[in-house]
Amino acid sequence: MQINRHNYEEFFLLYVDNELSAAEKKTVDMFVQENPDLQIELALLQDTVVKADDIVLDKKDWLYMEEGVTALQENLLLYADDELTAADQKTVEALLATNKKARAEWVVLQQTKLQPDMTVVFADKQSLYRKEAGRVVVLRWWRVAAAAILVGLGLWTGVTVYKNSNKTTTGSGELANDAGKTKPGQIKTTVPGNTSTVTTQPGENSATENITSTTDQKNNEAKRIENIEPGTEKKNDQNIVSPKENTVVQNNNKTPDNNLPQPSLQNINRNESNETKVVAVLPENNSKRVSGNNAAVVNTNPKESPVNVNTGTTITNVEALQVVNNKTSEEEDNNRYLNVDDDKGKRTALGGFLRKAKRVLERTANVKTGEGVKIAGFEIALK
Amino acid sequence: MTEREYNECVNLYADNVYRFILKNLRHNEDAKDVVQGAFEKLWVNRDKVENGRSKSYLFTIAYNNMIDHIRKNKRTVLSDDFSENAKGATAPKHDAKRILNEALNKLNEKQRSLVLLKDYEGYSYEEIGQITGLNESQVKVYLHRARLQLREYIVSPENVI
Repeated sequence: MQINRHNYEEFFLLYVDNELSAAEKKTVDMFVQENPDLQIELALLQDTVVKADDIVLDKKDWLYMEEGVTALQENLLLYADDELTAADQKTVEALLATNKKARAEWVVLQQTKLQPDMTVVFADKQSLYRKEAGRVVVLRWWRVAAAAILVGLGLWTGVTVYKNSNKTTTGSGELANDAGKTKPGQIKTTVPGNTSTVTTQPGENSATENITSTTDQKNNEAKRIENIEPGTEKKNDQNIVSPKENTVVQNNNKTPDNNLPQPSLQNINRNESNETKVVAVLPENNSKRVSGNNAAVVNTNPKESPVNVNTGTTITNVEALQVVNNKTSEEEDNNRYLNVDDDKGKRTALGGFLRKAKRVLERTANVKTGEGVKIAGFEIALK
Repeated sequence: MTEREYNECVNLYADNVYRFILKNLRHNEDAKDVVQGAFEKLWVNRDKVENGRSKSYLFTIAYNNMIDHIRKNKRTVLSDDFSENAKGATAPKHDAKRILNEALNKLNEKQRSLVLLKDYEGYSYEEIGQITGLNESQVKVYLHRARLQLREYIVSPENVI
């Protein structure tokens, strides 16, 4: 490439970097002579070159390899630093055992080994400890408070239930249906020996609530059968039948009625007082008392389908049948605390928790069950 | 690294780091500052440091801080030449530990650090290289040179043990 006024900068840079051949340098020199105005520019570029001679490394001796570092010393130093392989260590140890000069050198080198002074300690370690910020302790406080509230509620509920379980209540109750539906799970099963049954009614009309524990041996359990006449209050009698006897315990004041009760359903799911109906149930009728929030007499005889008085429709789910109860004012006063089975409570976790608490407390407090007919582990409340 | 692991590192390694720095700086308060700076940095970077590498991390930070401190303050002019100090010793000549400490103080900060890391903490050449930023060969050369210099000082006629 020929140098000209359009490409001379590249040639000047190569010239300053000493990257041009002798012939090319000569060409650049001739171009500069022909173009004196460009000579200043070349001189400026040459001034930017740093002269290396200005920097001198002082004390080079530390770079020199020291003469006299013999192979013996090298091996002994590595041996002292524990940097030899197992095989090399054995070689050095064998040399030390046989070579007097090596042993003398080893003694001297061992003296250059430092030992830490364990008495030198960092006294102020407390200043080094750290603690992470932002720990949430409020949550723990809330947990404790919530747990205390739940425990308090459970105790209060248990005490209230225990008090009310000592009062006599009517046998029948109303089976509350959420949204008009029955709940098979509310079937009450009374097992001999497990006498804690309480019947409750919806709203403030419930006298007691039958809460029992259900077992898987319902079919083999004793049945408790009671006859309850209309208008009478349910009493917590001792009508508990052993499984083997399978006898029917009746209220002495009442006469069994062959006819199944026709439950009055006009006050289903109503909180105000309801009319109580007495239902006479025989064992062969397979009527059973349904426990739960609102105990009811259920007619399981398929031939006698219960009729919803309110709506006039036949209740197909025979396991849940609402029966109205007449409640006295005294019962209302005593049982208002048990009216936790309102619609609001049923739909909340608190209501479910309270129901469970009641059952547990009744079980443990040995609350006697009400009068009812026991069949296959179910207790049929007889009004 | 958790908070608990960090505080455990304080219990395990604070004395070792302090001993190493104090032997280098020979100044109590400066050594404490360096140690605190190293642990402070470990706390800040605790999420990035594994618990198993905390000791080497501490020594690395402490060593770098120490070097910066020395260069900043330039408290001592160190020399590799023992000839000017080999004469006129007034202390008892047969105090091996004292003589060794004198010899150690005559090394430059890098050589002294290498000797201390090797003898006090038992680190390998590779580990020392990671702490000091040298490669293994450099560590080996510097350490051997320092060891031989200590040897020469010990066996010098004025300090014959």
